[in-house]
Amino acid sequence: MKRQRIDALALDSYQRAARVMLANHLVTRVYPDRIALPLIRRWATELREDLAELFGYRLEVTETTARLYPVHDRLDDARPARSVNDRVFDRRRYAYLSLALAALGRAGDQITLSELAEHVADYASRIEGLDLSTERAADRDAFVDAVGWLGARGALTLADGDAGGWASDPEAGEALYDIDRPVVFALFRPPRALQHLHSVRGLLAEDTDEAPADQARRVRRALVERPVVYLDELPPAEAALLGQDRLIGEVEYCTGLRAERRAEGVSLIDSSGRLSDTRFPGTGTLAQVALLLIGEIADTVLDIDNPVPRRPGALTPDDTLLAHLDASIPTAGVFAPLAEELETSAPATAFIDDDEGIEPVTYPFLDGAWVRTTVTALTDRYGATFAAQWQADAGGLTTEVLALLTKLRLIRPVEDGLLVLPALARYRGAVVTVRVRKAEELFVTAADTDGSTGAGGV
Amino acid sequence: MTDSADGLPSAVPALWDERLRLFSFATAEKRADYLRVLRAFDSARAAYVVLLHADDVAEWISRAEAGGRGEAAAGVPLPAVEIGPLLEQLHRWGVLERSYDGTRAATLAEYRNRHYVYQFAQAGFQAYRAVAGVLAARMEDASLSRLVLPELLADLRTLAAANRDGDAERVYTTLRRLDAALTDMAARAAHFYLSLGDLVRTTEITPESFLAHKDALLAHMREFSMDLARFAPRLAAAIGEVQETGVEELIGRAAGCDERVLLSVAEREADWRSRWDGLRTWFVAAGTDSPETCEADRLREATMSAIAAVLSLLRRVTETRRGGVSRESALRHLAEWFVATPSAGSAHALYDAVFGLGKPRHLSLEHPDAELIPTSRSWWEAPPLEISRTLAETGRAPTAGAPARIARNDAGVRRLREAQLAAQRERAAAAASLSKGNVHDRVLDQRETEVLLRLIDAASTAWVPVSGKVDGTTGSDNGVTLTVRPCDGSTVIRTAAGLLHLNNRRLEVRESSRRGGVR
Repeated sequence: MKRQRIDALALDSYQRAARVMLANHLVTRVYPDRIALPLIRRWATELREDLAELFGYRLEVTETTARLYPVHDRLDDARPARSVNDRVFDRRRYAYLSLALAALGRAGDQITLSELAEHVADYASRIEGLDLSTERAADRDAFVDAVGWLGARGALTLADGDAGGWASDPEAGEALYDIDRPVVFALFRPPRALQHLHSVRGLLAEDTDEAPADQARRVRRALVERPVVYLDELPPAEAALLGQDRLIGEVEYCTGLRAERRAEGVSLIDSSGRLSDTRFPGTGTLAQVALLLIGEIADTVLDIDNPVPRRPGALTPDDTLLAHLDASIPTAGVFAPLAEELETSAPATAFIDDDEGIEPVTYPFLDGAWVRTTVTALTDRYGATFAAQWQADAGGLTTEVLALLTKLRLIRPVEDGLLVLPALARYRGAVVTVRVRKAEELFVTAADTDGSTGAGGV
Repeated sequence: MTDSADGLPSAVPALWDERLRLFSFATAEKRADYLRVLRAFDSARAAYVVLLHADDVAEWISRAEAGGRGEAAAGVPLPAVEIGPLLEQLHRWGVLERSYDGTRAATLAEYRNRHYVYQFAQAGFQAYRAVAGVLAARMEDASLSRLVLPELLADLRTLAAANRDGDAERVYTTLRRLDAALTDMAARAAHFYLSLGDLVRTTEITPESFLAHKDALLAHMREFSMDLARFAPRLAAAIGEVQETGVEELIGRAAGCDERVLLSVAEREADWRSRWDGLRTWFVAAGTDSPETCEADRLREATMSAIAAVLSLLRRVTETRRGGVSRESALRHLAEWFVATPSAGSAHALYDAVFGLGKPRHLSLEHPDAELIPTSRSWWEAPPLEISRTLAETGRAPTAGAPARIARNDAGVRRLREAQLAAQRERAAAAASLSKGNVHDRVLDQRETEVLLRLIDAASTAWVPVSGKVDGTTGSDNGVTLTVRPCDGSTVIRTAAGLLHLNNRRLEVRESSRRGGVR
């Protein structure tokens, strides 16, 4: 990457463009906002070269769309599609979305919602276990969510009418959409033909490549995509690359973000929260409880009088997702003559052979009972500030909070508890004191509702 | 042979039925209106206009009837709103062909209204001609000439010369030949639109069906786009030349020699005038100052968009050829894959891998003096971040600037809060009692029923209609989880509000707090 090429005064604009592209992967006239596309087009040439050189990502910029085709090194089940009102997609919505894209591929310039529904229903009827009946409100809602997803990205533009009206009563409501064909085609362009796959591995980058340039790209990708990259999870050659100032400097220069380097690994810190799908620390009960729980975890781990047990193996890759997805490939759709049997060579075993003599790295272990008690205690103390839905559901709250911490790679769940990962220690300082008020003075605390003797009780 | 002999008696009447259905408009209650509509199509066709909207039909009707040309049951104007259903009905009978209109609509009403354009189906045209022929008892014009643009050009020059010389008979024969040639061209254009529409509408395109049409289409397009481009200016010039020799004389001469002796001279003149106008508007834009394009330009545009359509068709076909894979089949394969995934988490992972639209994820909050901490230090030893107390204590972001004014309405806040907590408590208690024991074995009280219905509501949004693919669905709320399992026969839940019958579903409610520890 040629640093001197970009003028110092324009650097900020370039980095903004890079961040927009890396954060969204798709930029259209309306997505993520109206000013993004002109910015990307201004830097199209530089971005195309740099993103390919640094990360191996392909950037295609046309008149109306900019699309970054990322390279996946691993599967991630924590980046779901969300509807316009932030509801997580379920399997049916994903299926409708795929079918709607298929139908739009052959539509003209415009289409009404009910026509699109008709096409999708037609496709759906040919898939076992799927159905779209416009008489069922739940089906209509799911379908409208899928259409809304397309609308948010500019593949469809509402010309007249209202999709909500159709969802509540298809007899009375209707909507007319303009179709943006380049966006429709840019949305779905998988790295390989799906019907040629016997394994979802085919959609991921091959991790056997030993060329230094590829290894460096893999490390930069991890840096720009994941919250924390731990040295222990990388093969020796890549771990060495992660220690290089140059490599980290390139990513910092491109994104304009600062990396935090520690003995255990590197984390790219997104101070604006724009390059990330979640902001942590952030607002809301889940982030709050996560922060409080981190404080408790850190206290326990650092308590030298009662050392916690340690266990190895926190960062070994987990292949259950791969296996699940491979098992669910609809075999009837696979076009056998061209489908390649991917070699399921496991490079991980090779590394284990190399590392045999070395002591495996261990991480502090906390069991499930401790976590549950701690969350309950936190609920007792701070419950009054939680969103109402979580106050009576400590179990659900615990699940969600642990999911959030796992997503952020601060802990790793294991069968009977969790392993604490080092980056968690960043947030250990959250010392919280709550002024004790009398219950009749302000609030009834959640502790009172249990009848137990909470701190705030009278 | 015996087969076909056997098949004949049943097969032929079916075809006949379909053909005879074309004549329904002649006996329907609104037969007069149907005839007016079809006559509009016919006169438009005479002017070489093939595709009509409902609005256009209304215009043609009013134009024809205002011209006082005749026998039409004039008087009541036929508004476009009423024409729509007539056109639909004619389409259903098979008299008219319907296709999508390509132009963009700004509103739903406009879209619906202009959604379709109509033209005569081939059999429908013949049916209409048969009926119109019976009504008017007019002799059919014989069409002898072929579509050749150079001939049109030569004919136009001949026409100019003949008109200049005052050779009425040659004017007439030439004009007739021109007319026939253009009629032929319009017929070809109509057929072109039809077959293209068929091809683009077909849902399953195979290489065979494409190849069957490809030659015809490409030949046609080449013919039109190239010849039109080459000849249009020369034809326009030739038309100008003819007009210089006097259009009125031309029409007078042609009408004078017209062999249709049953028409009055005025009628014949009107007929020829409209034909000449039609011919002229084919190649020359209506007025010098009007932005309207002439029919030839429009046809060339249609040809251009047809080329685009054929190219995209070609891409689809080649995609199919290339390994049995097209974008569309890939997406259908993907939908099937999504439905087959064992859990929501795996579906998310599939979505992420296929679409590649996932955002990266990063920690936020920087150290104020990050440079001072050596990079070799462990996270456990490095100084922790400064976290705003508000964020940790209340889960809300700290606000910058001066503290906001405090609204003192403690009593109201407390009352609301107490009511909220009481409701929450009550629901939690109901949920807890609901999870104790089997819901099918006892009578649920009012609160338990409420909680159960809420749970079913939550579960049904995640409910994929299944035939043995996804085993059950769950909904959770208030710390309990409802699992809906398929079972044989119907089940009943007795509640305070009455009986709740469930078909092939069995409900199970249990406490979900247990799942907290491990994911």
